[in-house]
Amino acid sequence: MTLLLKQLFGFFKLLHSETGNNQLAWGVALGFILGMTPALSLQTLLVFFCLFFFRIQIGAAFLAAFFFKFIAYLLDPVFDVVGQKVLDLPALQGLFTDLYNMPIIPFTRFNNSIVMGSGVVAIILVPFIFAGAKWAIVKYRISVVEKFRETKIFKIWTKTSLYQWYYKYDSYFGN
Amino acid sequence: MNAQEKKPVKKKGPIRFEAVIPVTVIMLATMGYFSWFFDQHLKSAIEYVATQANGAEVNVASVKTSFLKGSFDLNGFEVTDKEQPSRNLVSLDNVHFQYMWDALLRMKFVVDDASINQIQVYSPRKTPGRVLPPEPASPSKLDEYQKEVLDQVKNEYAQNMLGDLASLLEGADPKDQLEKLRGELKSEARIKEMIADVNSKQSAWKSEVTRLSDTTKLKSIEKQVQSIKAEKNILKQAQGAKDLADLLKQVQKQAQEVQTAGKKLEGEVQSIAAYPKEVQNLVKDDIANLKGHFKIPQIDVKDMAMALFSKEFGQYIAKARKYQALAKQYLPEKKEREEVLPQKRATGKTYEFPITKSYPLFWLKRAAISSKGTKDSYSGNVSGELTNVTTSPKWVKKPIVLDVRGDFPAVGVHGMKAVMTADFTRSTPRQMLDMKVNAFDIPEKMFSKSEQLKFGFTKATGSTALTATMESGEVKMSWNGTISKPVWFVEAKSKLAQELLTGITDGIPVVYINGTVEGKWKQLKMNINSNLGEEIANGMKAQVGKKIAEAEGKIQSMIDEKIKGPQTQLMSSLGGNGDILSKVKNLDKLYKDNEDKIKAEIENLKKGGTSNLKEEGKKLLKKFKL
Repeated sequence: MTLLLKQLFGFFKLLHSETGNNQLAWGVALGFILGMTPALSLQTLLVFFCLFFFRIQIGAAFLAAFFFKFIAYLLDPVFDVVGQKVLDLPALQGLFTDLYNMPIIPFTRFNNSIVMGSGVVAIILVPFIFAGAKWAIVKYRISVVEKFRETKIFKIWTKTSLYQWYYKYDSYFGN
Repeated sequence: MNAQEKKPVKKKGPIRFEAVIPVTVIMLATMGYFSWFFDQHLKSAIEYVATQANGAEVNVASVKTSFLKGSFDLNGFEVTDKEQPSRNLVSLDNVHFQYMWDALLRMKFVVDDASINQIQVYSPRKTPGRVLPPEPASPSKLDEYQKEVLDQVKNEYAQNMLGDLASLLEGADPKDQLEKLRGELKSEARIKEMIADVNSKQSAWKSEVTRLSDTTKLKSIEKQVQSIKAEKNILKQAQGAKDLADLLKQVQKQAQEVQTAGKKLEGEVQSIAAYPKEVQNLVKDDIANLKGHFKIPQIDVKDMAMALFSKEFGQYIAKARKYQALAKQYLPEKKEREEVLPQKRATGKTYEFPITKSYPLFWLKRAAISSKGTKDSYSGNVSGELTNVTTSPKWVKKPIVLDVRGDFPAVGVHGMKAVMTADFTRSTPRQMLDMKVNAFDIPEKMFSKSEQLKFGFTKATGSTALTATMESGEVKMSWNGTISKPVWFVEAKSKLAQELLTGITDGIPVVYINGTVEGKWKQLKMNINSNLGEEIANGMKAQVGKKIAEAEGKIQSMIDEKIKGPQTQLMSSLGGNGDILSKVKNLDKLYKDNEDKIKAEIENLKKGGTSNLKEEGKKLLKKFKL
């Protein structure tokens, strides 16, 4: 829980900093994949591995996963249809049979229509989600954060000893 | 320092190196758990689950798993005997499973080779095993299945047949039953009515005869006749003749009265005379009714064998039912791909692609069973194998076969051979059993434990062969068993039953039993033949035949005893009626005689009288004495 909260605080901190656009955008994109995938499967573990191994904002990923989970719930019928269409493609039957009989691959549960459907939709949409998230973060920083920094309240706040103390603490122990 | 001043931020690479240490720690901790604790926890889990399933303590000495080798070893597996917690029902020294890595990577569990070593039966435990308290909950489905079979056996073939027959031989039954029926004799009741009727009529007639026998009038007539006769005067004699005519009328009237009474009495006596015949008919009816009430058992050779061995056969059938249900539960027939029904929308539809290189979810290719025992140990000399236990029998295309053979010398089991086949590869699953035990010790077995008869044997050696086929909810089973060297135990209240059964059992060194059962589980047709059943049934038949004749004699004698007295009384009463009738006839004759004499006297007077009239009158009076 502490780790999760730290990641969430890190997400807001990074969102309001001037760096880490890609980290946040990838976090949102991978969170989108997590949210779309219906259950624990090999690809979920792969996404988790990426989150922990690469410098991707985990808080952003969890928040995005939480958000997209609700959307995915509504989209389940669509994923089911897409998944069935893909799994029923005659041209791919040989490939699927091979995959089904290969080691490890069955752990992906690719033969389930919703897993397949959500996976296909997620893979197709991930670049767009990444690009959209990045554009939204930059836009947010310019239109919201910068304007907020210019306000008198924020300037007064930065002059307080509490802020000074936090800033100093963060320079030593942050990140 | 101004907080607003930007601290130069060190550029970090795309890889999160700071996460390596925590991940490494987690991985090491996981490996440590699986290396040092997992086996212990798995051992505890197996012990707990097996104890709950068995209802008594199950111990496992150790469990050793290896992820890298894909192996599983279970050592010192001991199952406590619920009935006798100081011993094990079965114990295994070692069970070894070797999983195939290739299959594990496919999320499948394939055991290429397994072994089950050193099987012991009824070995003593170091400490008595804990027995779980019986659960008050409703019986399990398996119990219900077994009960269904046993109820059929129980309902159709009652076990108290020997006891009933023994009590009949004891001779108590006819007497008891007849005692109960004593009050129901129609003849006895009717005879009592008849006696009462005859007695009342007798007393009525006696008083009537007494009344009619009153001679006062006759004496006065005789006096008048004498006085008229003694009259010398002719005129008075003429008047006397006229008086005599009046007297004659009186005598005639009285004679008429006696005659009418006589006719009436005669009619009544005739109706009473029919009583003995009526009594005879009623006695016949009573005998027939009593025979109907008296339940004489029909002894059938087949029923006798059933009564003796149906319980044992029923146990075999119930066990077969249990294992068939278990097999059905744990080895369900894999549905064809076309039969997969679409699942709910939220869970999607899971496709099954043809298995070409992979394995079924679980497949135990072969498990070798081996055990070497000595005469004094509880280990059996067992060898065998269990092959092709799988969740996809249609894909494996081989039936599950358990083939075990061997001996358990410590418990007296020799020449055991069992081949169990569960074939789920066909469209209709079929399970077969072929079991044979050449010799095994049979403990005490009592066929009857009733008060009248305790019959069975205290020790014997048995052999058995059992074959069964179960397909489409139908079972076909045959059982051939022998019981040799039996030490018989016969204790009957009836001397006859004691002699009979002792004689029969002395002549049977080997008991043969042949049983068959077939049909749906809910409607089994069972048949058992046994030479013991035949001998007992035939012996009993002869003795029961005698008893039946004896019982009939008893019925006759009981009727005689009850009826004879009243019947004699009735007959003597009827005899008394004859006396009355003869008295009435005498009276009738007497009055007629008097009438004749008075007529003669009148004629005589009309002719001038007679001198010897007095002497005639005296003679007449003498005859009046009744």
